[in-house]
Amino acid sequence: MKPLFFGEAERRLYGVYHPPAKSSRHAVLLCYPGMQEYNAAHWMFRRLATSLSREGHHVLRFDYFGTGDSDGESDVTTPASAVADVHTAIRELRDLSRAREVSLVGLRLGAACAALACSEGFAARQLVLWEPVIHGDAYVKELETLDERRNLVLLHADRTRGRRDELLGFPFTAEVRASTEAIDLTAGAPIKAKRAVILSSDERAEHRALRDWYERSGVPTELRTVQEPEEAAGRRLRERPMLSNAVLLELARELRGSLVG
Amino acid sequence: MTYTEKIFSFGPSGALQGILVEPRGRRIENAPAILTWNVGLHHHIGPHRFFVTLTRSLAALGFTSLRFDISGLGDSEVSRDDTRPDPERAVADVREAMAALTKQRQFQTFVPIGFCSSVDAAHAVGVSDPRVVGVIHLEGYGFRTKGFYLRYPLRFLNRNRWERLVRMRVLGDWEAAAEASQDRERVYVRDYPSPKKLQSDIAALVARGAALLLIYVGGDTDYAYKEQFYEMIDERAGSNRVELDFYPDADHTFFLEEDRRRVIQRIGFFLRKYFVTGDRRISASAPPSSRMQAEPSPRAER
Repeated sequence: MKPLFFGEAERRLYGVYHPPAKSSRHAVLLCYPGMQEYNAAHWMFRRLATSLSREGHHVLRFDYFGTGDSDGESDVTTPASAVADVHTAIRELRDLSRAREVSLVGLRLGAACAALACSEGFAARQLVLWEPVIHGDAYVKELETLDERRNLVLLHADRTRGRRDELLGFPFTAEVRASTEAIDLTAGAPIKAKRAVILSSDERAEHRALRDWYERSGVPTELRTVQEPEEAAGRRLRERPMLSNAVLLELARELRGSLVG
Repeated sequence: MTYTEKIFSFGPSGALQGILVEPRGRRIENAPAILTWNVGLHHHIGPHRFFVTLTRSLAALGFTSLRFDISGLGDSEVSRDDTRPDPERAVADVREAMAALTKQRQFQTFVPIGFCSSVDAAHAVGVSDPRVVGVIHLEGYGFRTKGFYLRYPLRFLNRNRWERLVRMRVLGDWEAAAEASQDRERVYVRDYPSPKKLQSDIAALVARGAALLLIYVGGDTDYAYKEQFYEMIDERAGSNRVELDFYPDADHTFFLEEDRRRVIQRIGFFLRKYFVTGDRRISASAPPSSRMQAEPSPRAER
């Protein structure tokens, strides 16, 4: 594990590079989710990075500008800035690894950023979208529901009622809100990737719509449902997929093909 | 920017990782280094990026900080042969951080900041190591006292509490109920020193000349009024080197940005009060950030 800062001097990004256990020409960039999901996912991403590097992939996980240890205040991160950071991180990963091909794995908002990077010119070996945010407006509504409940539980209801500038413990400016709500992965420029996989704990219509859009764009896309035994038994686990061993194994299995392909 | 940040690897085989945050201008001469690390399982940035904002703000005041991960958490590794219990390992890692800062940056004194569970290591190191000249506890040890129980009925004057009750029990918002229940389990199961031990520890720290800042919050905690700490340790007179704040409206992890800003500001004032004296002034090249200039809000000082 090698932590590092990279990118432009006034816009440095923090990342952790996991070198492969054996010589390899394939690299994987991990794209964290946003906001409160980042902390919940951090441990899972470390486990995933360790597991993939043991399998023989070069791996880089990194913080977008304004998140984690990267430069920037917490109110400056927009989907567009995060996508620009994905491109910067890809360049850094190529420099570190000399890999011929790079695959992207993103969780939630990170999946949206990875997909948008692939529709802005980057050609991925594999694009793995893990519980992707497909429609930004629905995502923001979901966060608002969680935020309202959290403030109720924490006895902040009267201080936060009607407030729109903060969400789940993070600043949420009008600009960030507008650009997040504008996300729609089922429209816009087609992605470039040899293959795409959508991983989720439950198959929904929006997953099928995304798969169909990618397929029409000429990218072979697979929709795969992965559940922990508890989920399969009907228990709802909102943030548990971020600690899911089943997903970890599935991701490792999925990317194994890129080592030989 | 008023700070610089560098990767800081230390400990056995460089397995411990952190970010060293230094003032871009001249640092305060002979000031202690500030140490922060994991809150529960959060990695070193802290809940809602609290430690990132805090350490950058402190750099603007002229203080150097290290925010790092304890072995096996965040970006730090742990040897499979390391069988020490977690609390013991955490204390050893804080000492490693101090040793590395002495070796690489010549720091001789330190102020650890404990937040919730990390208070345990901050307190243990503070009590046992004379290089620790100040200790900050955010949501540290709290014991219910007679005064707590006397004030308990006042909770029911809080409109938010009634709104929550109605939503959970009457309207059947079971997700909110489950979340509240998980919070109680997650936050309050800790192995505390006895009040008597805490009293003698605090007395020893003060006798040594160390300064303490203890910040507590209201909500669903075991803390209900500012002076409860002195009642807990049966030390009514207090001490001029122990500063105590109570934020009745804040929650355990300072979920709202306004509350985080208030705590960060308070920590800055505490450090400046005790560790910026005489000719140890901050240079003009590193002005305090706008977030740190105002006096702490009076509503925090109930």
